[in-house]
Amino acid sequence: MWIRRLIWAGALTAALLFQITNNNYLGQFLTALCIVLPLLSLALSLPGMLRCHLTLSADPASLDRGGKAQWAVEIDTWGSLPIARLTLRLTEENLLTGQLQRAKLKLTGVARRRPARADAVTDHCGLLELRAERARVCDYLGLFSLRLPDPAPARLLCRPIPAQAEAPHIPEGMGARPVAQNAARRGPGEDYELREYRPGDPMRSVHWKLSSKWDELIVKERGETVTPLPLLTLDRFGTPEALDELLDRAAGMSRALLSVQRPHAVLWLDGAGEPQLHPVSDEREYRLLLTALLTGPAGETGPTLDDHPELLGAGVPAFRIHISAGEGGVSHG
Amino acid sequence: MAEQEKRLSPLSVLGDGLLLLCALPGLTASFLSLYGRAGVSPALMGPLDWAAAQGDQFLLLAALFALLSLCVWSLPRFRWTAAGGLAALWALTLWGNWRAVSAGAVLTVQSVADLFASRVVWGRTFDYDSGLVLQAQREAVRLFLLLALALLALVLGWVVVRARRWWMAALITLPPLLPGLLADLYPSWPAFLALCACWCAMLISSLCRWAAPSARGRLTLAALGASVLALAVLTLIFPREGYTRPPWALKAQEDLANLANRAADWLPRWEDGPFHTTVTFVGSAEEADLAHAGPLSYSGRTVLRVTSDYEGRLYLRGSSLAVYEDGVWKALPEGTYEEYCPVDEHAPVPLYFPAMQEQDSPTYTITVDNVGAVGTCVYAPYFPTPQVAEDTGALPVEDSYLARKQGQWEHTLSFVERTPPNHAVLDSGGYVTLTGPGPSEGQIAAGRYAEYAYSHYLDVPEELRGALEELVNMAWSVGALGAPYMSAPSFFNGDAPRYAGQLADFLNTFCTYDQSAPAAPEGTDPVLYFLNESHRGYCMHYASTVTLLLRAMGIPSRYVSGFTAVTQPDRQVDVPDRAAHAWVEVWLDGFGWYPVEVTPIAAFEQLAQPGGDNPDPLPSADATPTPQPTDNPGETPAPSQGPGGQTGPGEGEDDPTGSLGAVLLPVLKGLAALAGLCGLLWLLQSALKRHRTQRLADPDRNRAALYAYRCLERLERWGGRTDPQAVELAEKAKYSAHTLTEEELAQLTRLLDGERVRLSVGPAWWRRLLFRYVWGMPRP
Repeated sequence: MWIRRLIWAGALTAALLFQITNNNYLGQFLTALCIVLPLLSLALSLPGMLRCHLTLSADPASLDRGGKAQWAVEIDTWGSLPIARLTLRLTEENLLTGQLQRAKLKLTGVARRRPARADAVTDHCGLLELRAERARVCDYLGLFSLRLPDPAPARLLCRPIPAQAEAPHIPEGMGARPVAQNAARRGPGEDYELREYRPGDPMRSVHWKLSSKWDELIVKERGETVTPLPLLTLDRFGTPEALDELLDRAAGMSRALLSVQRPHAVLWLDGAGEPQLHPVSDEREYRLLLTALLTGPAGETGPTLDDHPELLGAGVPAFRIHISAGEGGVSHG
Repeated sequence: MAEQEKRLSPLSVLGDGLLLLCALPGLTASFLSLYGRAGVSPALMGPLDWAAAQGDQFLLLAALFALLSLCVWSLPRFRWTAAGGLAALWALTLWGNWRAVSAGAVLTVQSVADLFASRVVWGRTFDYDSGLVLQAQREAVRLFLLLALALLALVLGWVVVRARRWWMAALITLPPLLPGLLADLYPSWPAFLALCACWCAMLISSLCRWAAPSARGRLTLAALGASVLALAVLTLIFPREGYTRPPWALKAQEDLANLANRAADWLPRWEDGPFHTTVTFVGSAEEADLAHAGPLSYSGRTVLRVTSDYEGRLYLRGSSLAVYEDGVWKALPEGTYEEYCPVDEHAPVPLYFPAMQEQDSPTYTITVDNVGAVGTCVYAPYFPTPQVAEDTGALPVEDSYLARKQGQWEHTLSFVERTPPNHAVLDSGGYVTLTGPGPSEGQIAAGRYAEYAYSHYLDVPEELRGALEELVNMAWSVGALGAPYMSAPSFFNGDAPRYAGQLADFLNTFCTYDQSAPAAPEGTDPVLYFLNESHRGYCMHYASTVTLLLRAMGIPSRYVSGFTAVTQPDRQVDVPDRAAHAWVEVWLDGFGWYPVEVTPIAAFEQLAQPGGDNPDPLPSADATPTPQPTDNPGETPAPSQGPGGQTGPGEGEDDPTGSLGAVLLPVLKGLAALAGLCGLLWLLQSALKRHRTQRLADPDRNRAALYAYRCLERLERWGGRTDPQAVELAEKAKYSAHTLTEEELAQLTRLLDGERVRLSVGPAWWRRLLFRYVWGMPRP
């Protein structure tokens, strides 16, 4: 754009010099033309520029690691004239590994609803997020530009490829005490939480005593049912390659347990050291588990579950399957 | 570039076709109107004139070629084959008519070059004998133009339809017109506008040249339409007829020229070239080339700024030149001056001789700021006092001029009035007493310089001597020179100024002052050409001729250039470039060099005409600084004096140029302000609309409903009514724990829109305007 602006400034200067040094009508005409032309271009471009907005999407929205996926930047504008030039900076971030890819995208002559596509980097597992920043659209001569609001980011789930695993034999009566996720921080004895009344709540869930005390309807919401389940634990940190291996094994084990109709729970510590517990009893919960596993940031190092024995249900008989990367990745007992 | 974007759509073909139809016939009509003379009788028609007379046929063919080219390049397949076929056909035609086509090409180029040369006074015309009769020449040019047009159509078609690069189109279509445009010729304006519209449209759509075909076609059509409209509006706002440069352009030219002049100390001289008349460098130079002195052209820019306590006309002397060779005035050869003043001696400077005389006369001060005059000299008035001149940094260079230091442009000098000696003094046989190291030394120095002047300022080229003496004798014989001609200089030296004036009058009887006098033909002496053939000339011709005539009479004289200015006490005078002048200095024994005006009065009148503001013509040359051949020469006015209250040539003028611009400028400013205001209103409206849409589409429907209700409340001050249903919905949104449904919010929005529409169609226009364009209300 700066080159175009410089060229225009040069042309205007030349026309002015021509007018100054020549008693020739053409000098004035060219000077006026040099001034009018950008305005003309702006007048033609401005409606489209002002109404231009971007939408980011991923196609497909989720896939196995290493698969082919594309990001799409769709431009919607007003009228039937094309957009002269659109520049933006695309940032693709793997929310799990923190890997960043930045690229500048320059599109010229973009017609309405003709998305520009770029390949997504699906080398590692994780939730990939595409953000578009500093989007600018310029007029037909490339002299004026307008900043566009940043569009909502697009996300793409890059799933692990489940490793071949065999479900271990779990003795009857052994299980962990998978504490409800929200209750994990409250300690034992509290199996419900309080919240404001919402239309549709059953009347029997109203906590009348508290409601009368606080002068508004309060309902009790019960926590998850505490059932002893086999516990699949993993230390979710490491290099991207190690994480890929870890997640492949965890997914493989979870799938193996599901295949033998064995509901289980998966426990790990997130990047902030907070425990994350997800019961898995069917395919839907398995997908939810993967989304949760792949979303939060995981550093190359982090806290291990061995440092938090209270989370593993101390004193309760438990069957724990621990997944780790590298040799001897699965251990149970 | 995606393959699908190489394809064409009906819209893109239409756009490309219109571009080609603008470009090719536009170029054809522009070319023919530029170089072909309209209205010439058929017998005098040159080949290009004849082609211009057949313009309609050429236009039709240009359109056909454009369409054919469009068809070829729009073919989805085999387009290169088709283009190759056409190219082969073209080559075959060229092969078969090579002689006629080549003759036509040369004739066309010759016509264009001749026209260019005659307009810009640069190149030389070239002779070409095609060996064809006029009718055959016309046919040859016609054939050449047709073939050129066909080739151009084929190439331009590829550029427009396939390459889609505007600069290529400009590169192909502009060069044929360039010589004419640079020579200040104007093509047929509608045709030229069509060509410009093609360039503009291609430029505007250049960024989208690889967009989807239909989108590109739409943009091309929109850009072409908008360009045509804009060019037409520009032509209406800035009509070509009566165009004069606006004052700002003149002022800018002056500043640029002055800047360039000041930079000239370090830059090569910018005096040659085809467009030297566009920037005029005036003033005293080391040489005065009379041989190539053609028509004068001035811009009116200020070259000197003068402030003085003297009232009247001043001749600001640049440098004097002594040797006339081959039509060029030059300085004396290096080392000549040492005959008068050896290097190791400090003799009085001849330029100061008059000021060194003991006379009771007032002393004046002058400040000369050189803002744009060329040369390394100080433009100083006559008879400067030596000490002050040297104190201010003006150093005498031999007997020729006062030099300035590099980078010093302003000098404050003092000067005195001096009258030439009368007969009584001269007849006493002695020189006027000079001040200086000693009376006797000063007299000796003056006497020695007189010998020097007589030995070096009487030279006349031998080839001119006969003609000059013949002319002097003729002047004597017709009584133009009052007193008998004697060759002894001592006898009549005091009458030299009178002879100079009489010679000037004699010249004026058969020569005419003319600033547009052409340069003498190559190989002809310009003075002889002026005297014998053209009889037209300006100050350079008059001063040169009189100087040589005086020399032929035995009177030492020299050519001087500089400026004239009329000063008034405590008032700065801007001396324009058109006040540049040349005159003669004659040597007066016992006095020194004395200036004589020899250019006739018409010069000043003519110079003053452009301004039209100079009602007082100067008196005749006799009344200008030239000392009069009266019985008492001492009563003649001092050289630097002039009639009080006169306006000098070209001074104090109000340049009328730019009056059109002065009228148009406020209109343009008004239009620009209006356009800016409209743009702002439009932006405001868009922003408000966008804001309102976003607020009403708030995911929290209760909040959106409350915003809609607030809008309704705001409308009440404009006469709006708030529906009870809207109040009820707003209260529900505000106080109820329930969230409003989509339907309830839509109902509230409908109420709001309805109220807006009702208010925006009220009777008051300002309210409608306000609602539509300030508050961004919807149209009904």
